[in-house]
Amino acid sequence: MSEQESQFLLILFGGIFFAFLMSLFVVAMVVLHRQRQMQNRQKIEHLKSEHEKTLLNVENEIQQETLSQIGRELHDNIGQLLSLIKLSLNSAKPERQQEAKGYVSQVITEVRALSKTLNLDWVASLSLDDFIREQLKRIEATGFCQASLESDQSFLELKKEEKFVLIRVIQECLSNALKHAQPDHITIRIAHNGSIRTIEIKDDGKGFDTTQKYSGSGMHNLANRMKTIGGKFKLTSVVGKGTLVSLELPF
Amino acid sequence: MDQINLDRFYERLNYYPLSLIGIALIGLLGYSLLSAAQRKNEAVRLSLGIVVLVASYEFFAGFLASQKIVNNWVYNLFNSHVSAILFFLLLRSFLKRKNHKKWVSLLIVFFLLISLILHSSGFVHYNDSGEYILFLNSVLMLGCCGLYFFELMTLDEFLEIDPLKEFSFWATTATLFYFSSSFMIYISYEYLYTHHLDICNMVIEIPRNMSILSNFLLCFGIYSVLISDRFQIEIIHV
Repeated sequence: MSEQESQFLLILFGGIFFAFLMSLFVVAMVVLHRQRQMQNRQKIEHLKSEHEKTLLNVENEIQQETLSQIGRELHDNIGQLLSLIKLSLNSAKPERQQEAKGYVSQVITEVRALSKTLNLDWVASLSLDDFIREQLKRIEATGFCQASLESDQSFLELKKEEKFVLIRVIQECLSNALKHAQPDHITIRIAHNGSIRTIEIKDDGKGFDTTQKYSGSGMHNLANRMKTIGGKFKLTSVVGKGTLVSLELPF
Repeated sequence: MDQINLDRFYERLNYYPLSLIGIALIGLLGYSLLSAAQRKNEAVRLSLGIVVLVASYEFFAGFLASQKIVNNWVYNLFNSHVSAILFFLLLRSFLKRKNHKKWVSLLIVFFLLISLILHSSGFVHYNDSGEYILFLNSVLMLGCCGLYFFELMTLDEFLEIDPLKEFSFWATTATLFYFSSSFMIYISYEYLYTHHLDICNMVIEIPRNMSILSNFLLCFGIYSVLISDRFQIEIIHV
């Protein structure tokens, strides 16, 4: 083989090898991209199922919370009214009988109101502002503390799942405040700044050390729930100076 | 000055310039059939620009060679600079990240600056075989192709697409193949031409065929827009 022929073969095989390497590179890119797509699809599926699970849990918790509220209402309110009716009906005086009729009407109104709260459609039909107002009214009715709401109504438009998660998180925050903080006043402020809507739940209770481990798990759960609807959960608390929970959700 | 000898020019006409001119004419026809909105597509405009430019300078360089006039300056100006910049811009149009686009713009400026320094210092001449400039633009071009593949692998925007149905993928692949296969030949062109002319004539077919393939693909991109508009069939997404 002449020197020229061997040079030509060298160039030819070198070229073929180079083209093969290039093709391999491009094919590898496509294969890696496909793998990435597969992983991403699996991740999305996982997130979807997590989201559905969270939503189901939230619905169950709202129902349980509603049932315990109904239990309290039945015991503290309707039960008392029925006892009064019984006492009044046992009396022979006509004015007492008349009072009993009034109590019966009151019981009917209370039972109607309670029956509404038994299904989640009622929660879905309420606006978030109305729901918060309802919750704060109940808190004030217990006499534990004062409660107020300031709202610019930026949470009027919400998807069903967003509303359920927010309701559950707000319920949990209020419940925590009542159970642990013993506040004199709870304020909920709803506002928006650009594309971000915020709900601030502030109490002037005992506050707590946010660096303590035991305070983390419940908050972590609430933060995860906010994450499932694309929101953020922020908490600041100072011992003796109260707690501020901030829930952020983009429009 | 010698008279123009057209016979010599016709004799030299072979499949290479004719294919390029054919592709350029088909590309121009396809572009003329596009709607005003489709013509604004940056990738389509740059593809047409490359196809027409390559056909024009190859035709012109062939003509000069047939008249025994040194045509290196044509390749140095149009192939190494203008066409390279169009390829850079085409690759830039495929990138999604703004900072990556900025990098490509900076590479263009860097390339032109180096070329200016090399020419003004006399290190390279406008009518030499242009190895240094070709080497530089090929390396930068391969870097830009790498940037596209990096985005393909890392950005979420690319997750929903099938790369095999993307014009950007095929155009980048063609650019990668063209520049990687041709730059070794271009930088050894002078040596091969002076020492092994027969080998030079053989290996020069590689960049020529790659150039035809690359131009055909760019032209196909223009027609893909047309086909998807007229027949609602998207062969590749431009």
